[in-house]
Amino acid sequence: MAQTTTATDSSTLTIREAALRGEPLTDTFIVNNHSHLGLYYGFAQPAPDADSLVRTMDRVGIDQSCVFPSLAITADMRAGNDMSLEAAQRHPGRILAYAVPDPNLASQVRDEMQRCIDAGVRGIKFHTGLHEYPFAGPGYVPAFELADRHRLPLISHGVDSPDVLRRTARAYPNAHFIVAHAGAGRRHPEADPIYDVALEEPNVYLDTAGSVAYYGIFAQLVKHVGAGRILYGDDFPWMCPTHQIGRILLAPITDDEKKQILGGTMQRLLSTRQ
Amino acid sequence: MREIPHLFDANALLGPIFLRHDDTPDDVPRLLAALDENGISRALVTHGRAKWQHPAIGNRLVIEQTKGIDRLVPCWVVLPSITGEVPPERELVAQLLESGARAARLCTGMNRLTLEPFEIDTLLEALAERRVPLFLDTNNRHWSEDRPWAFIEWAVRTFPTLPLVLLREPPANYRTLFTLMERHSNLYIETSYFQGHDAIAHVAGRWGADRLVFGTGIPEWDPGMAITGLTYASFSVEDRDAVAGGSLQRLLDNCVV
Ligand SMILES: [Zn+2]
Repeated sequence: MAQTTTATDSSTLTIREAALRGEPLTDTFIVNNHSHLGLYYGFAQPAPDADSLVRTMDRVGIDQSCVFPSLAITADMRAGNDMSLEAAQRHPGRILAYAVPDPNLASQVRDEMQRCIDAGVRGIKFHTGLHEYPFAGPGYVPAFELADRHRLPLISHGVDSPDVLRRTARAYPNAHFIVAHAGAGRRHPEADPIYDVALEEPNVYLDTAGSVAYYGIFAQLVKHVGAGRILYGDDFPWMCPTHQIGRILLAPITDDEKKQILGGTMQRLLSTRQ
Repeated sequence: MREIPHLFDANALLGPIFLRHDDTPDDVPRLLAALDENGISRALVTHGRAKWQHPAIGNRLVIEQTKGIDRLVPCWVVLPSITGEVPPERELVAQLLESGARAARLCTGMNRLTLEPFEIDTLLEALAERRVPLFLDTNNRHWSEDRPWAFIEWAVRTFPTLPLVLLREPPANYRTLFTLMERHSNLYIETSYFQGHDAIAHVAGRWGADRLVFGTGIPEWDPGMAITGLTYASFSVEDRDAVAGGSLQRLLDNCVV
C-alpha cells in the first residue's frame, strides 16, 4: 500500500517529499534547541535517555539537541546539570549540554552556573513555571549576567510578560533570549504582543516546541515575525521529535525558511560563545 | 528509498468549524486541496455542523456533500434518542449504515453527555450490534486535561464487539491507557496527538499496529505533526502502512451492513 514514485535519490527530494517518505533529512543542518532527558514523575516517558534521543535524531536527520534534564527543572539542579554534561560527553557534537539554575536556591545559582560554564555548557535554560519563580526575580540575575558575558542562548519557559521580556533583553544585549513554546499553540500571531517583542528586539527568538498546533497558524507566524526569529525545538521525551518536526517540514513555507528554522539560525546563536 | 504511504485520515471535519480563520478549509474543494497538500489520500469525515450545530443537521449534510467523492467516507455524530432529537438508537444506526456512513462519533462534553451507563447504554448496544466503530471526541486540547476513563473502561468491557477509538489521545496517560489496551482488544488509539517519544512504535510492538489508526484532526489541527509522527516512527514499513490506513479500513469493513 504505497504510492508509486519516480524519484530515486533522496538528495533530490524537497523537505516535504522527504518528510512524507520518512527519509532522514541529511542535507539540512538541524538543531533541536529544546529537549529534556531522564525519567519524570508526572507521566511515563518511554526511552528518555540520551542514547535513545540520538537514535531518534538519526532517524529524522537531526544533527544536534540542546538538553536540560527534567530533574534539573524540578528537584535537583546540580544532579540534573551533571546528567547533561555526561550526555554531552557521551555524544560529542550531537548532545549540547545547557545549565539550569534553580532560583529557589538563590545563593547557589552563581557558583552552579559558573561550574557548568567551565565544564562547557552551550546555553542556559529557565523553567519559571515548575520552579514557581518570576523571570525578573533576583534569583536568576547571575544566570542572565553569565549568558550576557559569554554570549549564550538562554531559553526560558515563562517570561512574566512581554514588557519584562523586552526590558530583560535590552539589559543583557549579548544573550540570545529564546521564549520556550512561543512558536506553537497560540491562535492569533498578528494580535499577540509577545510577537511584537520578537519583531522589535534583535536578541529575542521563539521556540517551536509544544504539543498543540492549530491548523495554518504556524505559516501565519512565519509570515508575521519572519523565519529568522523561529527555532526548532521538540521537548523530547515529553514529545517525540518525529511529531514535533512535522509542523515545520510540512508547513506551506519555502525550503529556505524551513532550513533557517530547523537549524540555520540556531547554529549562529551557538557560535557566538566566548 | 521509502515510498510515500497511503494516508487514510481517521479524524477529519468537513465544512465550517468553530473558531476557524481565513486559511481554514471549510468546504469540500478546500478540504480536498488541503488533503492533497499534505499527501493524505482519503479521510473519514464528520461534518462541522454535526459537531458545532446539531447531529440532525450535520449528518444529513455530510452525506449530501460527500456523495460521489470516494476519498471522503462519512461519519455521523450520534446521540441518545430519548429527547427525540434523533431516531431511536437501532433505527439511527440502521440509517447511518444505509446512508453510506461507516463510523460514529460521540461528542461528549460538547453535547453535555455525562457518559453514565443509564444515559448511553442503549446507543452503544445498537452500535455494537452492527459493529460500527465509535470515535470518542472529548474536544480536548492539551495533554493535561482529564479523560473519561471510567466510561471508556465500562464501554469496552460491556460491549466487546464495539470498536472504540480514542480521538486525539494524549501522550500523558499511559499508566491508565496501557492497562486498557492490554485487557480490551476493541480499544484503539487515533495517533494525531499521541506524540510521546517513540509511543506509536511502542504500542504497535506491544499490541499490534492494527490497534492504532492514523488521524490528523484537520482542519482544526495542523496535520504536519501527525504525518511525520507516523512516517518517521521506528517500525517496519508494514506496520507503518497498517497504521496509515489498513487498520481503519478494516474497522470500516467490519460494519454489519
Ligand atoms: Zn520543555
